[in-house]
Amino acid sequence: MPESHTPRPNHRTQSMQIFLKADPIVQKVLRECLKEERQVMNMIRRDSIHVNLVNIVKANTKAK
Amino acid sequence: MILEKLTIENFRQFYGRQEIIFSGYKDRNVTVIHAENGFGKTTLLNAFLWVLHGSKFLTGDFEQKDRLINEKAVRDASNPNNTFAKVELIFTSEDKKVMVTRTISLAQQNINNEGELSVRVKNSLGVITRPDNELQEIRSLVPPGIANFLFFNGENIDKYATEGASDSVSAAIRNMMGLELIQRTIDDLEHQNVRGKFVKELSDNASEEKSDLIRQREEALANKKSTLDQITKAQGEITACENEIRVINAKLEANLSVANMQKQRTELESQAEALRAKIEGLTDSLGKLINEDGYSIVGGSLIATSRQMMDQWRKDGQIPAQVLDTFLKDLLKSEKCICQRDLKPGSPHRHAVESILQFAGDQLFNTAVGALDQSIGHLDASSDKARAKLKEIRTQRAESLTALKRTNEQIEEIRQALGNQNDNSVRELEDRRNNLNISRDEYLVLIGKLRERLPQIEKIIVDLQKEIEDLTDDEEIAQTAQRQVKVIDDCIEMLKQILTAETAELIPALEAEINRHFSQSINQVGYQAKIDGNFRINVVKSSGEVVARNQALRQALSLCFIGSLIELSRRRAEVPSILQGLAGTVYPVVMDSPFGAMDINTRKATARIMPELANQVVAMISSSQYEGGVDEVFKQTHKIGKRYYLRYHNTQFTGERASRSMTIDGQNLQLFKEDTFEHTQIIEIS
Repeated sequence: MPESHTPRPNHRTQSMQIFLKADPIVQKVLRECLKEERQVMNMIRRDSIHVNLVNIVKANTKAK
Repeated sequence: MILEKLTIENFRQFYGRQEIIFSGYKDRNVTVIHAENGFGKTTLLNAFLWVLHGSKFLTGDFEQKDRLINEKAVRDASNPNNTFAKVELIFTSEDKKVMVTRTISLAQQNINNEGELSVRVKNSLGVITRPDNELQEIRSLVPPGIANFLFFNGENIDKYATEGASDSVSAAIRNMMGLELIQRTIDDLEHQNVRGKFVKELSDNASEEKSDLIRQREEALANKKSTLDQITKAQGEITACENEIRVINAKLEANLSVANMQKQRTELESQAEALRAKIEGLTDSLGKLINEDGYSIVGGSLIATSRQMMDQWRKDGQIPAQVLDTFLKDLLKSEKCICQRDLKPGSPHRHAVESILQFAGDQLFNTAVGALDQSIGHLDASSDKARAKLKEIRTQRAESLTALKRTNEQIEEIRQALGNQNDNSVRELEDRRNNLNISRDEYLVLIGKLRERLPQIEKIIVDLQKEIEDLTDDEEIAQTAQRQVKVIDDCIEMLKQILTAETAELIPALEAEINRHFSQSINQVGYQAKIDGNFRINVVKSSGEVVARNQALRQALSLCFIGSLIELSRRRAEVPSILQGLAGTVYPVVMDSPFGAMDINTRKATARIMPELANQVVAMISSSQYEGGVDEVFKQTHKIGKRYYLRYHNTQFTGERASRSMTIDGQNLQLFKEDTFEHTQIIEIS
């Protein structure tokens, strides 16, 4: 199929560049939050999502 | 998602257990199901939707939704619990095989038409499991919001290219491109139960001073959000006003007595908009000119005075220095003049040389004089150039303002004329239009005022944030809470930037993709599809004029739009994404009557691009749409991997129907067959 505007596999989109500039902990938290959200994105009831997001943040920002 | 097999059992007119195996070949990716109207194309389409998402997604043209079980099966039923309709769909998604089954018994059908869902997933190791939440599994694989874009009736999809479709089009785009996922994540992170929880924890454990600062910051953030929400709401109201004005314009244009006036007004309003844009551009240029060269314009008199002073000094011999002081100092040091007279201390000749010193200058001084001369010359030239440019911009601006005033006067004349028409309906439309314009202007003013507030609010937030971070806490709990709030805030900010970037990249990419398909399917040179910021799809000529869309054009456009979405989603799936969940998915497309109301040439062109709409295409086509052009295209392109036809059985046929057949690849296929009861048979064409 002909080329389109969608980036080639090795090309970094602007959003990827934004992501890579962030602190590693922020990157990790965001990855895990998006994974969690993806699982419940199309559900009617998403009761546990907030609790799960809180746990993700806590797990990655434990006391030093 | 690659479809493998659909099995239907006693589902509507399909009696017994029947199946369709779809072509899974990359090069011959089209499965064609030949079927005359009324044979079951709509039923097959709805079988997909029902098995995946239940009765809520059955299409509007699927009649008697509460009667899913085949009538013969119902008549023959001895036990309502043992009489059922079943649809099973097997497909692969990434590295797993999914088997979705929905069954409804006669007893259940008498209550509702949801049926019972069963999902089994076979992973790459061959292990079959049942997901914890079967409904969730299906909804994540085939989101309900996009199901109607994947399984659709071609005669109804033209709605996606109409004025009022922007919401559903926008929702489909956001869903398939991952934007919805990002927005949901932002909303959830910002929620009181997530961010609010950590902010409270910080506030409860921080010093009193810090807690107060946090409270002020949260108030400022709430203020900012409220302001942005008001802006969004006002923008929505403006869009609604503009949509309604467009409808009114169309109605006025359709009224013969005022059509010309309305067309003229539309033309004038376009001109006015272009003039306003030009004036805005000129104002920007003016600002830029003053910013960059304003000093040379304002300092004109200063430059002139400087030149006069330089000229006077030159005239008086003060500049440049006629004698270098280094020369004189050397003479005095040597105590001998160039004329050989002695210049001993105290001598009158030495005194004479010393008196010239006050008029002497050094090389640096002369260099400086030269540079000053040059600078004054440059400033003079800049000043002249800037003044000329300023004059040009001001002249153009004045002309544009005059033209705009004249255009607005003409528009007002038309408004008055339309408002004074004898025809009640015209007057009412004009009154309504007038009110909508007033409302729109009010919302524009409101948005302006709200936007003016934002920089100040943002500064307050930034300042407070800095103060909060500068105050260190002794308590570890408070330190941890502060870190947690910062991480969440950073995540939210980053997601917002990503959402903006993705949206900005998406529209041109989608537009390019639509045009790639569109240029092949519509035989009109210079026609292009354009998507505006509200996700409205328009067709424009090379001059920029919007083309009026008939149904065929809208259908072709909608088909291209759906294919483009699927293609973009597929390509995104190939891009390694750090953000899991943003990557797209491969989807098939299943179309009932894909050619809709298209003429033969558009049908042929659409048949050519059909295999490119998705990795896997299933098309249900009647003989009237297939024969006479589309058949030749399919024969040439060699893209059909599997073929079926539906044969209608009934107790009796009369006349032409009894002998009706169609020829596919030299095979003569009987479309009707006499039988003991009415039903449809799915038959594979080898």
